[in-house]
Amino acid sequence: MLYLRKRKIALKKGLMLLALFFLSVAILQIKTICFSFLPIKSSVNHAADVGIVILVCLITYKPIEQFVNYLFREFFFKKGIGFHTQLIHSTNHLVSCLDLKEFSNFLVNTLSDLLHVKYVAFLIYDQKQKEFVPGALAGFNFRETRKIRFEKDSPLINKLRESSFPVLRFDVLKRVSWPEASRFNTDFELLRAQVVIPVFYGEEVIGFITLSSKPSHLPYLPHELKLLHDFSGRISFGLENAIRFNEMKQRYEELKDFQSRLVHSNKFSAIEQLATGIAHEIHNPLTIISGKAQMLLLNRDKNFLTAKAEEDLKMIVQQTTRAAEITRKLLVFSKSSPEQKAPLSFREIIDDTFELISYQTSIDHVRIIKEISPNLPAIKGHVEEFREVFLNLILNAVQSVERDGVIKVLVDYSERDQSIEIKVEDSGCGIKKEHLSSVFDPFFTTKQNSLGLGLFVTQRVVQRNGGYITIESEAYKGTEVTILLPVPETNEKQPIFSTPVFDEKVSYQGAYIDQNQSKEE
Amino acid sequence: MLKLLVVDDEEEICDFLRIFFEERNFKVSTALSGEEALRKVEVEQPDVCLLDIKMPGLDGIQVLKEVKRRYPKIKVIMVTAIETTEKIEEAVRIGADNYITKPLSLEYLEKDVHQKISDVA
Repeated sequence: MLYLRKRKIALKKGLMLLALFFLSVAILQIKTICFSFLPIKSSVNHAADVGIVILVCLITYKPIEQFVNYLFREFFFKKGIGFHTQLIHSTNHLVSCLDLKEFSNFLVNTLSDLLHVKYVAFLIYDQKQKEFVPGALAGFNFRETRKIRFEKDSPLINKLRESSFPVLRFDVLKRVSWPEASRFNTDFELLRAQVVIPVFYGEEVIGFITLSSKPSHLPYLPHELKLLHDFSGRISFGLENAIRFNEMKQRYEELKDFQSRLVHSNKFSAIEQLATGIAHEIHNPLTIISGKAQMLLLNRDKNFLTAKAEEDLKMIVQQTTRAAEITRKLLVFSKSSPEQKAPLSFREIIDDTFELISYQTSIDHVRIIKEISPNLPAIKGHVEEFREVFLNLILNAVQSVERDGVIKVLVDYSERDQSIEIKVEDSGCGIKKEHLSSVFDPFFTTKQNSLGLGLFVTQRVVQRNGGYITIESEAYKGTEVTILLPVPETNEKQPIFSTPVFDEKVSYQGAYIDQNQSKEE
Repeated sequence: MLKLLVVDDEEEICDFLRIFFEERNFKVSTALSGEEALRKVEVEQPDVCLLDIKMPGLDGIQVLKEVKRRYPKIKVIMVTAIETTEKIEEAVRIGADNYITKPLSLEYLEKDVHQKISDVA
């Protein structure tokens, strides 16, 4: 470094001497030419020449020095003074920026614009994941970005903590032992970094910036490092603010989400209690009504019943049974099912459901698109419950689409949520905004001849399996129901149709032929 | 004459079941609570007992336990308003001979009672 700095000074001095020399020669030449035009016989006066040269040197020294310095600044940093002021100016914006994403993007863009470096990375410490994750990156391709992650105690971070000053790649590599150097080198290589600038808040590293080499491929100079250090010091407060704000925003979202789920579950448990009570209370009067009617019927000869009265009594018995069914249906789903859990085959359940309603879909010319991933992890559940879930969702979709509508059923594994994601979309009439919050309520319906228990029961089944259900809809555009069912961690990811339970069944003719996408007209 | 005890906290239900079974030549007594049921069991020694599960005070399960402990020969048919699987399983484990859900199908109930009695004979 020192050597380089000396070379730079020597170069500067040399350049200046050269400039002064040529200037003096030029002046002397001009003097000679001028004298040759004058009638005075010139005499060689060395003393005068030396005097002129000294005079010229004295007058032009400062301007030439300035000019050379200017050239040098241009050479090492293209926008010398401009860079400095712009960098300082940008910190003003960063300090007042609360959005972490905007903060990161602005920082990375500013640095890559001002310094003209190819790769700039800005990593922020994520409290939740306990590691440094990219806030914003410039120059990296997508595949690379997925690998960029640093643990809190990784060597590079420790190094930053130790030095509390921008760290140069070759400086680090020079000073550490070989195996360490190779590890550091991997880190630097991953980030394409020549210099790493830590951002401190108090004693802690809350983020860091890495820059690749300058366009001139010359090393970063101490005053540049100092500048970058100052820069990181100035933005640290802003970054801390943005991180805290971001955390707060996330917590707020989580809280909001949790609250909305809580509202649903609260609503449910109250309704469940109510339903249990109602079922008990209703079944007694129903028993009496039905019992008396049955007794009249059984003694029809003694009672001289007319044919009409007999018919009516039968109707009374039937209808009491029906009323009892409603409460029973409600309650069966509020209690855990006695049936054993078995591996679920969504393909089979969905195929069966469409089979069930094929008549309706064929007369309405409804187009059905099924996209069921063949590599779903196995999850267990009550098959009957999930038949009910799909029947409810698909029936709702079929009822809402008109002729030539489209219904799309997607089942896939979501790596991010570690869940099976089920989507049922339709191009139907949608749900009115004011109804959207009530669709999961029991007995809520906008249709005639509907109990209004479909989505209620569906939600209950999904919740019982640890998942959750959301519904998005726009009137006259369509509805999208999304269900996320968590996959237990112990489950190995294996294709569902290789499980033994499934192999015994042969009721899914043709289900495998259209593995990824099948369309039925 | 076969003896039947109907236990239900709903008087109307007891009444029409009494009438129904008396018409079919049963000697029917009724009880409106678990405590009353246990007293009646002791006095009447019925052949069959129709026992409602959900009652204030002693509930059907507790009565069943007591009846089966003291008089294992008495046939007990549990009557439930709704199928609570755990409750039914518990009742069957304790020794209930069958269960029937409300609203009752009288034909089915009659058949069942006769069957339980013929099991004894």
